[in-house]
Amino acid sequence: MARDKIKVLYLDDEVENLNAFKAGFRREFDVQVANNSKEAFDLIQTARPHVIFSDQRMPEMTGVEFFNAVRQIYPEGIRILLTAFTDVKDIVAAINRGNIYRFVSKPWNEDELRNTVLNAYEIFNTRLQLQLKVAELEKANEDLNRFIYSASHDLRAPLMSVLGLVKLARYEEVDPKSLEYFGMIESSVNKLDLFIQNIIEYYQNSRDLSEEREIDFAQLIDDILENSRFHSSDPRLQFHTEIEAPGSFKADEFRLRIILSNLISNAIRFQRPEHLKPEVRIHVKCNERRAEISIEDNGIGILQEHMQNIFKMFFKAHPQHSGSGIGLYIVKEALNKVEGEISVSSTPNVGTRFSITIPNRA
Amino acid sequence: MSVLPYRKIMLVDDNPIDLFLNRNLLKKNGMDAFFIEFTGGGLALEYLIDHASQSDKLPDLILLDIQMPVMDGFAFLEGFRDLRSALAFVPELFILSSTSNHDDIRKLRSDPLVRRILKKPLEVDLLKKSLGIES
Repeated sequence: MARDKIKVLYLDDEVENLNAFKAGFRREFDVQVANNSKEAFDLIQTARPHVIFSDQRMPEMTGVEFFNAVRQIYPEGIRILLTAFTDVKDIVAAINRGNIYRFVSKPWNEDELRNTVLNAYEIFNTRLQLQLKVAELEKANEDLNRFIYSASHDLRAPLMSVLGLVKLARYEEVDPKSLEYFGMIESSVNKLDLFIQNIIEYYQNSRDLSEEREIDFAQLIDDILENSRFHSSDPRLQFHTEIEAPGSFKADEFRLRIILSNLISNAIRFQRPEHLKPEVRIHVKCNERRAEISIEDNGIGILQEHMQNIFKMFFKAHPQHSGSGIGLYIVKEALNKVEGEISVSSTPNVGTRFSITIPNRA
Repeated sequence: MSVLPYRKIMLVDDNPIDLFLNRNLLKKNGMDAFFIEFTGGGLALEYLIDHASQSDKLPDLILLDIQMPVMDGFAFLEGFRDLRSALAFVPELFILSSTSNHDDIRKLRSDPLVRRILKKPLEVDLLKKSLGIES
């Protein structure tokens, strides 16, 4: 059952030491010995020993030098120096750099050395398990990302087909009742689409990845306004965008997009249907320290009693509206990740204004 | 037939409903044309290769979906990039996709072959505006 034994390699230029080592441990461990470094490197390649011992003083290279090289090609093996000289500076340095797990003084005590091998093997095993877990976790994450990527497409693509078909049907149909039904189909589909997008944003925001990029606010806001989720909005709706960004501004673009698109989407959706001049005002002002952004509408507003709850998950201040109940929650979460802040002021039937500040990472 | 400069339009989309839909939305919005339709990037690329030197067979305009099985829009773009110099003329290429993946969008936006990224459902007016056609 040699395969189940702990594999130990011992490099020493003195054959008597190798023989003594073999005699002492061959029954317990799967022992290989080498009396020059070339042989030792060959055995490392073929046998992948768990624990590697080396003498320090050898004619062609020192044990420290040998282990420096071993670490490059086979970092998993636990490296232990056997030496009669304990006061050498470069041994200490090698241990501190992590090139050597520990050293054992010569002549060795058999029990002590046996324990050292057992401990070293335990470390070898623990590290191996950890590596396997990390690899497993990386794979699970990758799978989840791939799943989210295709699920988001597979869920949203048919919805966009439905919206398109309703659009096409509008060209053929004049019956007012049918047109009203089309409108309801559109708003239901938009509601579902918003929910799907919010769920995906929630997932993506919860991952810790962050990539800071130069932000082109004009482009970003244009993109958001063009997004399909607003296609069915009121043609009377006026947008006023003002951007003062004289210098460079860097931030996590993905999270900034989540924050702005949810706030702008809210400003658009929570309008008063009877209002003659619905408006959304977006104002961006950057300096070298931060961006101050406000998004203001003249819509239905938020009741004072709801203000403290609007950032909570699944809270809806206007249950009859087409919100997902997680938009502002995601905004808050994304702001936490970019170390931004938000404040809100609102008057029912006058409008709402969200103000955020985001630190400049340029 | 329309008097527009875009008389032949290639539609590439794995979903036949979307092919039908986009063809009809274009027709209803004053962009009637001869439609060349494919359900995959590979078939579309093959057509372009087969008719590379025949300017009467090449489309003036391509609307390309991104997420498709077998050969997706990105792979089509790579093939199109290599093929460009062999074509009698290079059609205008627009992306027409429901993707909300920002990495994909960023990649497409920086691709010089892509004139513009359009979102589904198709807004023909946006397409016309990009092409400089009066609505």
